[in-house]
Amino acid sequence: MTRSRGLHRRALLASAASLVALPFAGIESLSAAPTGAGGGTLTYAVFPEPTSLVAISTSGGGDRLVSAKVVEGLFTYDFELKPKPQLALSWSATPDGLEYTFNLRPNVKWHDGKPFTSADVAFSLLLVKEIHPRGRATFANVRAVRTPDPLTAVVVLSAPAPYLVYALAAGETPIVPKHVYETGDPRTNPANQAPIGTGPFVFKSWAKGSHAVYERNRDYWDAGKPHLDRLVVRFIPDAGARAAALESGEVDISGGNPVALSDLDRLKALPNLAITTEGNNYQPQQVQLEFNVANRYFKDQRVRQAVAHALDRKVIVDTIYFGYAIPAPSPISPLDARFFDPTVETYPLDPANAEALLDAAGLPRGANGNRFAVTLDYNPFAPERLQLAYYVKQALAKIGIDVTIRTQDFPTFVKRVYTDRDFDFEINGLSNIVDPTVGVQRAYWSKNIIKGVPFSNGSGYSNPEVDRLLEAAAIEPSHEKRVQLFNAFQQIVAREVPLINLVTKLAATVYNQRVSDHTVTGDGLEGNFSDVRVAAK
Amino acid sequence: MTAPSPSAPAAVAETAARPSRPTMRALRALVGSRPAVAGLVVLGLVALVAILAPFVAPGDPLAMVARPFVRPGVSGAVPLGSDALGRDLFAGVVHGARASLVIGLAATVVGLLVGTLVGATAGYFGGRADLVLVRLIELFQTIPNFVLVVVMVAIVQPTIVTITLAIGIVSWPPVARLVRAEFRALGARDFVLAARAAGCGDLHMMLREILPNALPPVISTASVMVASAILMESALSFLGMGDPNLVSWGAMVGAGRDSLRSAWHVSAVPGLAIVVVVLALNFVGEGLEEAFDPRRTGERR
Repeated sequence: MTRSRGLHRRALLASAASLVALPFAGIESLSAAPTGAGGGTLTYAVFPEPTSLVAISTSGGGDRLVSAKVVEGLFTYDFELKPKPQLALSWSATPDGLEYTFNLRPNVKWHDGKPFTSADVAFSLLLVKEIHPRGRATFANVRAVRTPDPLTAVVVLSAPAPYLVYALAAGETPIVPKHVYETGDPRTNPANQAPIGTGPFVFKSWAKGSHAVYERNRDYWDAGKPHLDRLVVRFIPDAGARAAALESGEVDISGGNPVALSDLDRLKALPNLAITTEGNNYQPQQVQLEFNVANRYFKDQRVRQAVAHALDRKVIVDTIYFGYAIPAPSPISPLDARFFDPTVETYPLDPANAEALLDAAGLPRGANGNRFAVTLDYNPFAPERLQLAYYVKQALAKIGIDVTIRTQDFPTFVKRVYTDRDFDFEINGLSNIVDPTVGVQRAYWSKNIIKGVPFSNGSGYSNPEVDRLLEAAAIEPSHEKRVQLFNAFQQIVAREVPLINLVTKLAATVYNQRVSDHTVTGDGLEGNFSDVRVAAK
Repeated sequence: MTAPSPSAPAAVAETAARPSRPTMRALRALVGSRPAVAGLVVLGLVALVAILAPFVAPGDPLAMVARPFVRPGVSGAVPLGSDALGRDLFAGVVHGARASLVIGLAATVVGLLVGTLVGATAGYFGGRADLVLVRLIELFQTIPNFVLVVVMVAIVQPTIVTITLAIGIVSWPPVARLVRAEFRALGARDFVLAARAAGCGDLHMMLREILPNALPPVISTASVMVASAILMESALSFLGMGDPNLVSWGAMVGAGRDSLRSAWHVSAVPGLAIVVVVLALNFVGEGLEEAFDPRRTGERR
């Protein structure tokens, strides 16, 4: 509380000072001249507020957006998702894909002065395997991590896990200090609230419900970085308030669609603000219309194809997403350049063909013009999904399918789809996390039809050939062969449409023009901000 | 008490010192009040539009018929403009009148029925029944109304029936208090005592003797209840907890909230409709209250 008041007072003093200094603009900019390298303060708005400032036992959105500033990973990834060195300089794998050797960066120190070694890496990877919600799956094949010397870590696998090297970003697999986390329960370790890492920023304070303050790490291993003196993370839960803060310059940057979609163009037109949709590659979000393939109508592939032919991805992109999405007909997003197959069946808008398919499926129009009636649920997590539901209802009315939209809260939706399986079809969004084996397979693999597990195979789709392809790709060490396997998989799924992949969301980052070099990796603002620069206000 | 002949209660009631019916006088007073008449005219028009909605604005009001964000007065096809999905705001307002009026009236009927039943029972019988029922009323009054509605609608699916019931369930306590107070006040009057002396049964006493005289303040409350039910449905839809298959003014305001800074008319058009109807209902309510007020009409009960 005191801290927050102190901050406000400082802000007030600063604005008072700038008012006084207005006639002496030259003098003011001199006094604000950077001390050290670069300098300046970046105010970064994050939502929702993290529960933990280290993403070691959580995959929460807010947690990931702050974690990497202090706690780094072995790699970072470029926009094509190629690994780039962070705490690891290089890696190599044995031909059988059962052993990965990581050469670590020398002369790296934790913020408390202790040296960073391979013991920390071994400890962290096994900890993530144990307590991270996705780590259990990603690192399932990890048998042991050997540490032959302080700068070498060898991951020993029981079966190949070719996706592993893509899961080592700071936000997904943070490397934490062993000497801090080895005692007590790591989930409740005090360092989750006051992190100690190797990153470019040193944690100073966290006033819950308001802001967290980080300062420049003077001993950072990447000499000359970070460019910022100070990073202030503001937690602003309301989109309208975020828009106002960005407009007024109170906040410099915020990502993940910080304002209403319909407000983005208005902000873009303001002289001090700019928008980028880069940095969505690490976890592109697929927006999907998922069928219950056990439904009496949707169990017929022709009916599902007819629905696909009735929907126009261009309308969805332009009207529902205000241009902040791209058509994405395949289960793998076009943003994942490694594996996306652009030749899949797209079922372009073709109502006549849709009607012919429905006639062929033995569902003629009745006396009232309707063929059949179904209920559409939607995951209420993102507000635009109701708008999308309205569009689906309208589009399907044209081919004689009467749709009733059903609203419910998030837990009810999850229970209805994944536990009770009491739905006809629904609108959902699943991220392509890290690698298709980790982020895509879960929705199509028949062994992942598990009652009660959210975001598993919700359609109930089961195809032995798809299962075979997915299982082969999961343990195939050769990248080229994996591409072939995933291409075959995409072809089948896009044709049989157990769920229609509609678009990939392009989450926008809104930033003040005085900020540069903020989105330099495939995971966007989840990066460590060591490259970010701010010009004087 | 000796067993009275079946016709006795009615006869006694007729001859007892019973207040003359204030209805005609009240009606005259109501017609004399200009805001009340204006309110009645507006409500009549809105009701007419709601009834004739399929003719005034044919077709599905949720259909995407125009470009998104057409401003009012620009296109003849969508005279009041269109929303983010290109839906006709005029059709929305016309069809939304149905949902708002139906939910407002039905929820009020539910509230009146429950409230009158509870209030009459508590006020008439007194004693332990009164004690228990008053605690029940207080229990409901201490829970914030809107929060309770949200909880109830969240538990069941939001449909027009569940929303109506939920709003009705939270709006009965004030009615119950009012009716209970009237019943207690009227219970000691001469005409009631006369009816009791004549051996009338409890049901007859409550329904035929006391209730008609307790009704005037309830009726004037009712119009305000309709207004608050409409507002509650609007708030519910604004929060996205309305029936998504139903056009309602609140849902339209809520849908326009995101684009308030760039296309304010999307929220303003249905918002104005809410303002006008709620204002009209309040005018009528005030008119009724004045009309039934014996001090103003010069009549004493």
